[in-house]
Amino acid sequence: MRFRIARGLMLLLLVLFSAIWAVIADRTLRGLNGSLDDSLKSLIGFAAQNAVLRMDSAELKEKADAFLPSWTAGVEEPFLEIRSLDDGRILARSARLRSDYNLLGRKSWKEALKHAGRKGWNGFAAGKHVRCRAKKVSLPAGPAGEGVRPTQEVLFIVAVERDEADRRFREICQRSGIGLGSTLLLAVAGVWLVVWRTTRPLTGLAEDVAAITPENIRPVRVPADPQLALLADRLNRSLEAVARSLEREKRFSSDVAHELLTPLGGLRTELEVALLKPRPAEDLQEAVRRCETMVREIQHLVEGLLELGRLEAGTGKVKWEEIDLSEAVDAAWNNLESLARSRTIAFENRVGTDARVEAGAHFLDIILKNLLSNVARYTPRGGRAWAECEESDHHLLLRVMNQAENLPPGFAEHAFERFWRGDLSRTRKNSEAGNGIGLGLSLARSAARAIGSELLIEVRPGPVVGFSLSLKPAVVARLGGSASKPPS
Amino acid sequence: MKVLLVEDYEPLAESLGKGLRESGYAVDVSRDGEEGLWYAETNDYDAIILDIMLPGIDGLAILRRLREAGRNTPVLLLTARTAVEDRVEGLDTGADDYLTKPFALQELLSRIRALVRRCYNRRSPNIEVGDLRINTVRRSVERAGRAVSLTPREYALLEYLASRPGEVVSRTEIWEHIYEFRSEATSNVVDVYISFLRKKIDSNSDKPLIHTRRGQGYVLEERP
Repeated sequence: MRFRIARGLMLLLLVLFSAIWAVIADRTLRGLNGSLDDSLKSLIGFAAQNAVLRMDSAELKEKADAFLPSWTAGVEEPFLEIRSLDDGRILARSARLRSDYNLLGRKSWKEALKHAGRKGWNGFAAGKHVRCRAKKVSLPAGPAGEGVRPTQEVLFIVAVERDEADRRFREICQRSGIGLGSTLLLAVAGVWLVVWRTTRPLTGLAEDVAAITPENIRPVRVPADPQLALLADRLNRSLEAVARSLEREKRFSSDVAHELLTPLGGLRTELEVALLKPRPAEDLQEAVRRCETMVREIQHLVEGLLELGRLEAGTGKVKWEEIDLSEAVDAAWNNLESLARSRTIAFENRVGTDARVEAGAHFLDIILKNLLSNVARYTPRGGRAWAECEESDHHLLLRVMNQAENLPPGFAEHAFERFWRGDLSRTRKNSEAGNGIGLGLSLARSAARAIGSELLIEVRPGPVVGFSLSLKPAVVARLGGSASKPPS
Repeated sequence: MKVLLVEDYEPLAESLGKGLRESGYAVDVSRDGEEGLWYAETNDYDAIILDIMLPGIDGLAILRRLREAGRNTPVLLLTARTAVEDRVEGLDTGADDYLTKPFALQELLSRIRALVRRCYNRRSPNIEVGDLRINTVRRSVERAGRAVSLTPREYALLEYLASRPGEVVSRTEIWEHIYEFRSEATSNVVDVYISFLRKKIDSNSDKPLIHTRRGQGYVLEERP
């Protein structure tokens, strides 16, 4: 990148300096031509003042030569020639021109006439190329005062050695070229230095970023420049978040594989052992029953994952309706009663019969089933659990609480993580509807978010642990049932 | 031969334990890491089948502690973790073999047989002592070319003695290798099964192979 910036700037400078040099060269050339033009004007003025047509060649030469220094206008040793346009005869020539000189070059005097004025042409004089300019002038042919003065058309030609012009041109170009070239080199060096210093930290940053791969995400070096340091710091934070996310996904994929492969392994072994040798019907029936349990476990896991995926993608549409919260709690607890009874867990629904909320029934069902399922499975044997509801800030706050013992370390931090069960074993107990396999709270949280709420963990002394959910009331009514405070 | 199975997933622990027993192994099953470690440290097994993800202490930690304590019992790691790095970690921690779930039962049994052979420095699945030939894959026995029919317990006893030919094996050692930890049988039952075995193996031959070393135990060897 650094090279591209520097190259671009240098090209720009090169174009700029080339343009300046071209302008200087053009102006120099114009200046030379201007000198010739001035010489012509002066010569014509001389001719008009001195009635040159009546002079003989010697006199004209004498006067022209004497006049030369005054009107050369900076053109050193110009050549002078005056030709008649009637017949092309040379009327006068300056002393330096010999008869074998040919200011017209390859052109005839008529062609020269066409080039008269600003264009000019190349001629020959003294074996050298000369640059010629000419002008057609009408001069009086006779003395003044005789009525109609006859005039004669003449061509004034002024020439200067090309070598001289070239020399002057080269001289100017060289001086300007050297000056411009040096300036250009300095400018280029300066630009390069500035670009290099500015982009050096960016190059290091770019190299660090290029070295990052999904398998190896590491922070980039922080440059000394404050602006770049800020950029690098922000980049490192983003990389950290990406690394954490990738790690979570990797762990999730590994966990899903483990969760599915374990019951599949059990299923396969159960079937292979059953087929190991002939068995009585009741043994086979028992084996089939165990297989069915494992198949249901796999099914629940897959359904839970699909549901979780739908909730997290936000593809499920919420059908808002008025729901009796107390009835919803009873309905969700219904299927768990036998499990709770087997573990002698006492559950109390303290949600008032008048508590009605606006929510998506399907989503509220997911929340309640998973929260109450946790209660049935993880409340210690003989423990107590309850659901309660209170008005809070124009909302109804639903709580599902239970007595607990030995909360696993990191519970509050990890409880909502998929497949987290508080120990590494993923030991499952009677999985249903995604619970027991570590998806229950993830599902409940996603369902809560789908209806615009948030599931929060509450831990109280006892310990008592539970979850709270804020719901929009359909009717803010008096809350019936028992006291809303949990038992001490 | 006796195997320890440490697996927390109940259906798999039950079915695999049953499959191993029906294949002639005495099997102790533990569904917990701490308990599994205690079993492994307290008893002498011919092989340990160890799950990695266990409650309490995980399988790799168990394996590490066994190796650090100098216990060389062959260990087969059984897990749903299929990634290469998991396999590498397991084997580098000291496992002798690694099998991922779901697996074929016959493959597991075959790998256990291979581990047991290695444990007793045998390369071949066949054991020969004199004219006694035991095929450990088919669990068949021949003496002087004639097939000998044995009960599972008799076969287990014979295979154990034949794995240590010429070595005196104590009654306790025999009991530990062919009876499960929770078995109610005592080591005296070993004498009973030795006598059963002698009747079937040695009675029709003038060269007995099963010998008693009084006060020490039994030895299986061919004597001139």
